[in-house]
Amino acid sequence: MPYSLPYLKQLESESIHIMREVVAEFKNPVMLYSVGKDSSVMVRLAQKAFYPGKFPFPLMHIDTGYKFPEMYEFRDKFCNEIGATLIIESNEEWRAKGCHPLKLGTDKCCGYLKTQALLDALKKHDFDAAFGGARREEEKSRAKERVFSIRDQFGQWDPKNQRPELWNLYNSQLNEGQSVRVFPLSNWTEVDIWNYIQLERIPVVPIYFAQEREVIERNGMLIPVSAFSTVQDSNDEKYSSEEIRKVKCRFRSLGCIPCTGAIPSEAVSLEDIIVEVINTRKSERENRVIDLGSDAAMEDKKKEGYF
Amino acid sequence: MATREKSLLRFVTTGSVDDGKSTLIGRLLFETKSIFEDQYAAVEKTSTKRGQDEVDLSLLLDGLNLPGIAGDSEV
Repeated sequence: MPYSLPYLKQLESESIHIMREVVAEFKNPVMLYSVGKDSSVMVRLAQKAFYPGKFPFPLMHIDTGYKFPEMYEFRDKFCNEIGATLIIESNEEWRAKGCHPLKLGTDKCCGYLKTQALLDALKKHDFDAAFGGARREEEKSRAKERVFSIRDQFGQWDPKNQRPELWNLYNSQLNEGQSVRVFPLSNWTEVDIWNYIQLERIPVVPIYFAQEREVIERNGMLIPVSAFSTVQDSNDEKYSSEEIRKVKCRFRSLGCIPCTGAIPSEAVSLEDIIVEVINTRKSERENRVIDLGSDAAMEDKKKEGYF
Repeated sequence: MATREKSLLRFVTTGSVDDGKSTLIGRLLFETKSIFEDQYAAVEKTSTKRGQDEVDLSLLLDGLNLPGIAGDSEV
């Protein structure tokens, strides 16, 4: 079976090589864990890279507090089952202030709850290398990202100042104050991820699969009724019962509830999802408000230190 | 499934600034139908905004937003 899947195995071994390289070269690595499908795959690759030992770094979830309940449930169960050390960090100050995309805009909300929280957490724990599950095909600002992506003392990324990265030779030398983000899944695509999840029987959050859900449509996004109170910033904003529709839908990518919509889908199995993803004409981030802000929205966030 | 039998292709372009490395890759992605509709629409919008007559496919690899140097991707 493994040899009938040469290209997935190639991707796998490349990712494993990257992880071992980081562990060999850095003092204090961490793996950023966002609970999504890419994180699930990245964790499985880490398990393989250091088997039969446990992978020698903690997982860290930057929690905005706005994730789906199914994600928290999955996160705790999954990390417990594999015996991973899980660090959870948040920007408590801004969460307490009621930071919300409808109040501050998605840019500011992400800036406080994700970017700032991440930068503070990396500093607090003194991590010098952080694995992230970003893929180059996901978003154009990620297309030109190196596997080893150097950040300055403020955690910021300068797209004009990237190092050459030839073949599988990774430069892990850092100057004072610099740190590195490492992307072992750089060369994977969404279809690769799902094929690998199927091949390896990797557990993922159940809301990736379609089922009939009661949803309300807002700005072209399908929002589950159960999550509606999180989406709307104030309690004044109500929906009428006529607005509630029963739609068979799933989440193609997972983020914060206010900025992630479901897509209509019939895909109830991994096989279905793979077929759907192969045939879709829309990108993976079609249901994410965060990327639609402007053409360069993601790159701006990345420069500030966001993934 | 067909995708499982596919193999990996590593594609390298070399050249100086503004030689058209990103444009070439963008065009290849376009011709091989590897671009999603919403991605194409975003690139089309930016091209129009910049006053270009044709869709600038290099933007598919380039989210750069810096004034003055927009367009150089330094991939």
